[in-house]
Amino acid sequence: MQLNFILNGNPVSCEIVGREVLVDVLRDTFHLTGTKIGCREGVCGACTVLLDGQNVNSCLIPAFSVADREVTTIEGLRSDPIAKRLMNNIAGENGSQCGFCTPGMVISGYVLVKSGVTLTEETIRREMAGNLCRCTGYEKIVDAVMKSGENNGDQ
Amino acid sequence: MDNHAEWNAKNINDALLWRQQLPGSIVIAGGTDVIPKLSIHSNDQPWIYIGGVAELSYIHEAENSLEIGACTRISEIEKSDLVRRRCPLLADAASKMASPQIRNRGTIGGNIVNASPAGDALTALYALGAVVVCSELQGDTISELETEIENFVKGPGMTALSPGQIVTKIIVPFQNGRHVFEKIGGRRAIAVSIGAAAIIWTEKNAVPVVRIAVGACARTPVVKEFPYVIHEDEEKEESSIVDSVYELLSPISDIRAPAEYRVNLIRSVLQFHLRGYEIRCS
Repeated sequence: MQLNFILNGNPVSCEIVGREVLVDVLRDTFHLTGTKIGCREGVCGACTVLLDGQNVNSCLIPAFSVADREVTTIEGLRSDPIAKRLMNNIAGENGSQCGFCTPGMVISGYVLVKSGVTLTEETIRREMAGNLCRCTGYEKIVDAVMKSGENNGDQ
Repeated sequence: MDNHAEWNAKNINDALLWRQQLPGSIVIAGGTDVIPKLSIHSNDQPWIYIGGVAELSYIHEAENSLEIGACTRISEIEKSDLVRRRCPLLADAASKMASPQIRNRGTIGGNIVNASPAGDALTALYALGAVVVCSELQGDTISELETEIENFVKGPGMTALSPGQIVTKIIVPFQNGRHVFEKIGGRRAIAVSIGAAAIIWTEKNAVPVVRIAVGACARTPVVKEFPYVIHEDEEKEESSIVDSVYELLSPISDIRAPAEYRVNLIRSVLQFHLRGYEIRCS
């Protein structure tokens, strides 16, 4: 069947067989490999993307269910000023080592920073609890997100 | 009928019709419990996807209850002003489930039908005395069956849902008074509970009662209501309540926690809250 949706701001179309999950369509059909696969269970968050602006695990979403919806991957945030600030801060704070969790961290961090809520350590850790990292110990990621608030830190 | 394996319902009628016509169908709403359990190579069972049925996603205030569509996302329940005001226990339980990503997709109906003994929303719904509404097509009309949640959930992964039915609504009676929800798990998020306690201090016919539901300590959550008399001997009152709850528990030992640990934990949690202290969880 044909699947039509908005991907990173552009209307796209592809053929799907039926039971594919979104992460596989993004990576294999659209070659957007920034979104990673860590567990296929919705636990690790490496596959996190935005669906109509909400962060979700793309490993659990049937591809057919995103018909006519808006999907944003890490590649789609390249030019976004909030995302760029966040990515620069993650790099600057050494909040990325192997990099595998980083796209998912950026997506979840982006949602949080963009929401405009006051950024505290508690809030950041709670809102990003769905993204696991095996390398950094999280502190530097938390610092980076904290600095990325509207009136904070490095640009 | 075409032999497509995936049926994407746009309205409740289609979903119920297919449910009747497709034996062995798997109903998928948020998919967060179902998808990991499915073998990607298995094509035997038809999927009926109801996550796109807008008419199943709502939170309404009725005279004595909230009515929540079965496909309402957990994150919506967590953030709903209405739920926070009228059924704070449910909003609290919702906020402690899984992760933000899972809450943005998982649904309350799915959490019920998944029937995990450690289900957080489920435990809260037991304390709240929720009623599960199942719909089925009978001829040309949709019939609805209401079942109290304690009777709907039968065991781990087992419910009273029959092959032709889909859960469409959850009725949550108002239980006015103080609500406490305590979840203990291995970490801050994405943690399956090793113990959960949902406590409501309220009144029934002007008699103070306390309703206590416990999750992850038996094959299903358990719930009991006690008249709450303020004795002179508070400790005696409280320990008789805790002992009564203790009798309902039959926990298992698994990789997450031994059985004895679970019951000791719940005992401590209940004693703490019945004494009127507040735990501030950091």
